[in-house]
Formats: sequence, C-alpha cells, structure tokens
Amino acid sequence: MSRRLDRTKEAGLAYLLIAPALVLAVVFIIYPFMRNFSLFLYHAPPYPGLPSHFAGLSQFTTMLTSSTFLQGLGATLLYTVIVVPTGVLLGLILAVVAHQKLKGMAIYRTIFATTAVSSVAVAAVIFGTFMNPVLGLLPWLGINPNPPILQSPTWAMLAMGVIGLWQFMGLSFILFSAGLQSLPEEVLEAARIDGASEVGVFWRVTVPLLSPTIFYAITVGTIGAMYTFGQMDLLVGPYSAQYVHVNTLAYQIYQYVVTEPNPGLAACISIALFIITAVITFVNFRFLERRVTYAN
Amino acid sequence: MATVAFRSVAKQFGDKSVLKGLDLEIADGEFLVLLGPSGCGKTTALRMVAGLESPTSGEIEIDGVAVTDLPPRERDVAMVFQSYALYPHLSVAKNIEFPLRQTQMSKAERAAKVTEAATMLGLADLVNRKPRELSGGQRQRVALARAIVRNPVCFLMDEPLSNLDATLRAQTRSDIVTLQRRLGTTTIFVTHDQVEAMTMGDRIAVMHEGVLQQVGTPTELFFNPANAFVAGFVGNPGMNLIHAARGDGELRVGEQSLGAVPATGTGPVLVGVRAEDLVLDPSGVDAICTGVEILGAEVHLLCSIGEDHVVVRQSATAPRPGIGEACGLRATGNGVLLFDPTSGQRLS
Repeated sequence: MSRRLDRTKEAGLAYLLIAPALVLAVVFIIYPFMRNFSLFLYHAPPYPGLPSHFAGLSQFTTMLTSSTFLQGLGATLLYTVIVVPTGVLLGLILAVVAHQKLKGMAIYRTIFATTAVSSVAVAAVIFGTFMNPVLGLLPWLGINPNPPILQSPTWAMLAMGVIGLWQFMGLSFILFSAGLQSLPEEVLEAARIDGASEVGVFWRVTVPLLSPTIFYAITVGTIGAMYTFGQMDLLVGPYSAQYVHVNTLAYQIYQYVVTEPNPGLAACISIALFIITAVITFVNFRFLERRVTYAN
Repeated sequence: MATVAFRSVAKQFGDKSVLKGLDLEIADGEFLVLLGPSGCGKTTALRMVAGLESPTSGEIEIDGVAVTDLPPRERDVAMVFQSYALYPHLSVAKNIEFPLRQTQMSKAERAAKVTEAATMLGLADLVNRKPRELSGGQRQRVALARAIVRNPVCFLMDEPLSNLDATLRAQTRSDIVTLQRRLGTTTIFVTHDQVEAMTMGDRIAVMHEGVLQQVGTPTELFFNPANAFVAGFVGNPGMNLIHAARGDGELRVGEQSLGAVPATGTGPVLVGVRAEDLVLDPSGVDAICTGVEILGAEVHLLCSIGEDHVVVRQSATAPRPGIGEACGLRATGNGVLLFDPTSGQRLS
C-alpha cells in the first residue's frame, strides 16, 4: 500500500516537473499546429464573429494551382541553395582559420561568431546601408547598378541570400569551431606521421571526422533557410514592385496573416512548407547521413 | 632501419622544464624502452623523434642525420599511439593503406602490401570492417599493421598496451617483440610499466623528472641500479629502501641489526634490498606487518620499519605474522646495495 503511495507521489512530482515545458509546448507548438489544420479545412468568415464554412481541400487545391505559390516555392528553394552550401563552406573555412594557434585569434573568433547572434533587423540595417543606391557603400565604391540591387529582378534575391549567408555563417562557424576542438588530436598526428601534407590531413581526415557537424549544419541551415522572410520584409516589402522575386513561402504566410488576412491560405502554405521541409530533411537523412562517420 | 640519437635535447613548456638535456643513442635494430612514471618526459622525447614536438634546444638525429627541423612526414618513422589513433571513417584495409597512399606506389603494389601486413597480424578476415566494429586487441593490431606496412626506419610506440586487459596485454607484448625481431626495425617503446620494459626491451632507459637516470639491459638495471630511484622503480616489487646506519660491520636501524655491511664506511645510508632478500627473523629489526598479498605459490608481506615501507617475498606455506602483528626482519644474501640517503646515488 505504502509502495503504491510512494509511486503515486513520484509520478505526481514527475508531472509537476514537466508541467512548465508541457504548457509551453501546448501553447506555442501543439495548439498552433492543430489550429493550422482547422484553418486549412474552413473558409475564414469575411467579418469576425460570422460562422466559418467547411471548405475541405479546396483551399489547398487553389494554392497548388496558383502561380504565386509556385513562384514562392522557387524563391524559397533558390534562397536555400544560395545560403546553405556557401554558409557551410565559409563557416568551415573560417573555423579552420580561427583554429590556428595564433596571437589575437580570440578576437577573430568573437567577430566571426557575432553574426549568429545578430537579429535580422540588425543585418537588414547593415546591408540596407551598404546597398542604398544613394548613401550606400557600394555606390561609394563605384558599384551602382541600375535598377538598384534591391529593386532588380536579377539581384534582389541574391542580396537577400547574402544577408542570410552572413547570419548563417556565424552559426556554421560556431558549429565547426566546436567540431574542430573535439577532433581526436592523435588521429591528425597519425596522419601527419603517415606522410600526409597539411592539405591532405584536412581533406582526408579532418573533413571526414567533421562529417557529423557538416550534416548537422546542412540540416539546421536548410530548415532555417526555408522559413526566412525577415530581410525580405524589411528591405523590399510587399509594396515594392520587385517583391515578387523575393516572395518566399514563409513571407507569403506572413502576408496572408498580417497584410491581406486570409488565414485559410496561410494555413495551407504553412502545411505545404512543413511537408516540403520534412521531405528535404528526410532526403538529407537518407542520403547524407550514410556518408557520416561517428568516431565511436 | 636506422640509429636514433638524442643530442642534449631539452624541452620547456612555458616555465616547466619537461626534458633536461637528454643524451641517448639507440642502435640500429635495437628495441629500446623508455621507462618512467607519468610526467617524466618519456612521451615528450618520443614525440620529438616523430616530429610532433620541437626541442627547445639540442638535436634529434636519425641515421646520423639531424631531423630536428623536418616535419613528421619527412622522417620516415611510424608511430603506434596509446589510443591507436585509427581513422574511424576508413575500413581496416584503408587504414593500413593510408601511409602507402601518400607515396607514388601503384594500386596493385599497395593492395599486395596491405594484404601482407594484414595477414602478418591476423587481420585478413577483418579488412572490410570499420575500427568501431573491432575489439581493443584487434584495433591494436590494425595500428601495428599500419605502422609496419611502409617499412619505416623506426617504430615509435607510445604505451600501446595500456588499454588492453591483462591477458591480452601479455599476449600482445610477446607478439610485438616477435614482430620486431622478425623485421629488425629500430623501436622506441614508451611505458610506465616496468614488467613490459623488463620483458620487451633490449635496453631500458629509465627517466625521472626529465632526467635520464640510467640506460642498460634489464638485467643490469635490476641487479646494478645506478641510484635509489632506479632501484625502487625497476622490479616487481621494486627494491625496498630502508634508512639505516653503517657501523661495526653491520647495518643498523636504531640499535638493531638489519644485516652485514656489504662495503666499508660509516654513517647514514639508504639500504636497498630486494623482497626476496628480506627474511623474517625475530633477531632482526622491529617491523609491523601491515598487509598480505597472496599471489598463489608465494605471498608478499607488506611491513613497515619505522617510516619505511617494505615488501617481503616468501613461500605461501611459510609461517607469517598476522596483519598488525610485530615481527623482525633481516637482510640476507649478496643483493644488498647502499645508496646515499641525500642524493640517492649508489655507494656500493
């Protein structure tokens, strides 16, 4: 009897301890996720307070056949392709440079890592200033394309990518710095004694040993890139003629919620984005993780 | 195969001096063991031969050529690490092949050498496995195969047996010696285990606090230690060291006789006597039995004589005192050595 009482008390304490995390998860993750499905299935009323009408999959069909969605999907994938591979590569290179035992390297490490903790607003202000066609750094350097970068169908998305890259590079740098510090030094020394040059040690030993970090950086970077819209909104905005070129799926969701309220369509796009991200992540796991080597 | 020489090699890490002017020559084809406790500088010395550390001063020579400033890949040495340091992303075959890929050797030649090395170390059935799929002993053999495959001038081994269990360690010890004899490659083997040193080395170099204490064959070190440190470190158990005084032809602890003086002179001495040369004798010096280690046919009696702790080896069937009981001890035989109690240097 007393043993059962002890077990009940123990279970009660356990539920009490997980309660804060559970409440947060329910409020900010589970409820919004479920609510998304109800928005997806019902037409939102034109005025608040009126009843919703069941729409089935019609909103989803409309979304799939709309050119805006397909254009947004293309923009999202393009942005991801610009940001992730380059960010992983640059983060790795910077981490290798900062890993050298040279004087003053701690300052560089701090500088490189700072971009990861800078908000998108800060990044937008910095790059917006650089690219301003009148006051910016680029015109001062004699680079002043017409139309200006942020209004150019060719360059606007690339500019968004550079901002995303700047932010992701910091995270990538931190991940690779941690990865490099945890590499078994004796394995690298063995490679040097076995006749490998420093370049050979890097490509044949360091990079394969960093494969778990590379895989993680690609996965996290891809998920992050698929949900980006901050710099698009801050630097181009929905009222610019060129916004269509940077109108990623996440930005469309934001606009269908805030600018032109259509929560049903926003829910459809968010579910589509969730599925696309899940598929890409699955493909990452299926094909990239096979090449990953865990030390033990 | 080659000779290896340390010429007044010193190494500082910041303010800490870990190697103080090491002079040592290793002959062509010799198996030399660097023996000493943790922090004595033996691994640092080995890493300097490999090129993984640079001496603060002095020269390293391989086959008479100064290699001090050469990078590791240009020294033609092979190293076996304590952790084995296998490439976790490569199969056993690729691990063994790795040093050969850094040369101009053809693929067919590489494959033949990998097969030969793998067969020599009993790895033929494991070549497609990854290191994580191997036991400790198998990993050790892969590390050895990787070392021998390119026929280096010198093998460097940094405590390669310390991660193995006792049975496997004894077996691998014998395997390494056999392999070294067969290949005739100069080998420097670092260990803190004096049993390994005694059973494997042609010669042993004993180090302590960055200073080379003595170099010699296992027999020389055991029977003729140059100082009290070597005497206490070499042998299992190490030589007992008892503070005593010489006088009237006897070694005395207080007013009691420990045994006959093996050399003339008077004054305080540190008496070195092996466990087998110390016997229970009620007329000897007063001691207290503090413990008993039963090893089968023999036992080690752990005793204290004043501040000194000693070990007495005797037959398991011989009468012995109980733990905490008083007894008398006396030194017998010709194995009694005398050391200066201040400097630790040998007197007799």
